Amino acid sequence: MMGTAWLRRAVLPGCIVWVATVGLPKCVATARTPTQYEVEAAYLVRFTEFLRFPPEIRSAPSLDICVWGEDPLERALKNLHDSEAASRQPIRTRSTQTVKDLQGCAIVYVSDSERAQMEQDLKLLEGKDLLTVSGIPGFLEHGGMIQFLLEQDHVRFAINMNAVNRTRIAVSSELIKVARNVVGGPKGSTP
Amino acid sequence: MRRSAGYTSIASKLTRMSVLVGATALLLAFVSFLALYIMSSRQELLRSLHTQAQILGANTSSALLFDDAASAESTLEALSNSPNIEAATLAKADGEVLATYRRPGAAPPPKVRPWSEDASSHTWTRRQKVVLAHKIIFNGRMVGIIVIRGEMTAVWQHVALYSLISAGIMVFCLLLSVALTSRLRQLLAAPVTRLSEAARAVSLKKDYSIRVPREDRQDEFSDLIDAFNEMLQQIEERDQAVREARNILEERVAERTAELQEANQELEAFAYSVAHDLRNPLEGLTNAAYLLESAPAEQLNGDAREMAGLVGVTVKRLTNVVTDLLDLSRARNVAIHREPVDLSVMAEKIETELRATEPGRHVEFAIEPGLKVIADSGLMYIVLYNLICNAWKYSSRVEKAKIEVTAVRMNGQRAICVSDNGAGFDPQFAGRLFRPFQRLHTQEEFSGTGIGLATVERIIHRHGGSIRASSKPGEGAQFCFVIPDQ
Repeated sequence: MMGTAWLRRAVLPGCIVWVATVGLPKCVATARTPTQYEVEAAYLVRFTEFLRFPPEIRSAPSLDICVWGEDPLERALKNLHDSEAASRQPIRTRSTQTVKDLQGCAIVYVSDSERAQMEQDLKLLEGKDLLTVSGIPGFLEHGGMIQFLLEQDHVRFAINMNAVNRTRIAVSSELIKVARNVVGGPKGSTP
Repeated sequence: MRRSAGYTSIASKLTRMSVLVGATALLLAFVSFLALYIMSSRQELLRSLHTQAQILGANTSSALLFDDAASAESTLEALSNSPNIEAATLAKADGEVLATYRRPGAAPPPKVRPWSEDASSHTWTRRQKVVLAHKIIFNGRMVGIIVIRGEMTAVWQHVALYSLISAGIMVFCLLLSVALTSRLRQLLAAPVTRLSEAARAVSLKKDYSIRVPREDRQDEFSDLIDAFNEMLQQIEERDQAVREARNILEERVAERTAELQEANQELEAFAYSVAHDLRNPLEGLTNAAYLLESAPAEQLNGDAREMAGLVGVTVKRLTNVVTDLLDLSRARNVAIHREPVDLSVMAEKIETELRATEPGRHVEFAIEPGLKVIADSGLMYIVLYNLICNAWKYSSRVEKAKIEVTAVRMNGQRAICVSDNGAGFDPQFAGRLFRPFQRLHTQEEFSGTGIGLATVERIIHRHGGSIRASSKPGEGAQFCFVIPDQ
């Protein structure tokens, strides 16, 4: 489990980032909000359990979760992949700066720092068998696949099935079930 | 053969037995069926709970992983279609409750309790509730716990219904068994009843011609009936033989009696004619002896006189014998004329008569006055004379002789008794006293013919009465007779 000392250290900067990006009131209203990064990090790992990646990724020595942009999640992720997914394909997190770095990534988390150039980023990522995840609002509208939401202090997410269906990644219906918002339908049902 | 209070017929015993056996068997069957039903129902419920838990686990693992209470609640809501599940709780791996389900009206959802780490599930049974806790495993690790509470209410409702149906079946079966038993009674008890009734009839009426009707069936009962009938047959035959033998015997006795009576009569007739014919010559002899004795002394010397006296005494005794014989004969043959007779007066006459024969003797007479009977006076004189004469005779050796004629109550009847304080007799020979020519004393002791008491008894018997003699040697004798008035 996550250490409480670490929690305290991570809460403040996370909250600052969150306030900057999403909005003040909710951060002020609930002290738990800074743990959002931890939760999102955990969710990223858990997503892998409901996804079926193309064979070359499944056969790779590790499943790579890549962070695009500045990385508030990285440390949370580092803590997670050791404990939660020990029995499965080892999960590795790394930061990516260039398109070349994206080689071998299964999931790309687009950092909040990329808010401004999100559209260009998504253009770059288009056509690759990558699951794109971000907390930036409007992520789905610009072709992102999974977007984190905050709903009554709980981290939720929405899925753009149309975008997912353009890749060779399959999403479990269980994941769709807990998603708050689903754009498009299962593979083949939308144009 | 009388039926006592505890009498129970075989038929009702059979009925009771079969009803008891039937009821026991049905009850056992019913109880074991119910036990089996309850057990299997519980198993069924558990299996169902397991299945539900597994399905719920599979369907809520994403909700658990993504902490989605709403999704979990909507998944649990599907339990409303399971009638035997009343509540459920979904908890995360750390025990924090994520979602609950509770059917309207049901108790609060079950709490998540710890149990053995190794087991994937655990059940608790409390009253009619079964609680199943199941670990939700996703991709090889535990992501949550689902706790489901099922209820046996439906099962118990079924049990009640089955009990009702079984009770109905039981009542029906018992009625059926009673009906079947009555058929059994026809088969088994009826022959026994007939036998027992026949036996009772035979024992009550002593009618051995009764037979128990038998049926065509061949079994132990028909054997029994045959044996019983055969026994009756044998008894009847034996009875017949006994009756025949008795008839033959009776005939023979009657024959012999007739022969004896004839011989007796001949004898008595002979004795009577002898006595009768002897009377006249004896009279002549008596007279001659008297004349000879009273002849003048010069005509008869001493020896001759003595001889003449001896002749006189002998003739006198012979005359007595002849008189007694004639009395005996008369006692048998003479017609009885009953009339009131005063025995007291008669006894006094006899007293006077006896005192005259032996004036030297001092005998005290005590004659109760007014002893009256209705009888033949001539024959009663013979009776009294013989009895008083005996008393006179057997008390002759006593210093103060005493003769009593009294009335005594004997067995509720009035008896006339003649008693003395003379020699008496041995009571064991009392029966012989009344037989003719039977004497208990020698001629030397007391003279007598041995006919007198036989004559007395005969006369009393002819009057329809009875006579009894009692004595102890040396204390005198008592003769008591009863003469009925008619």
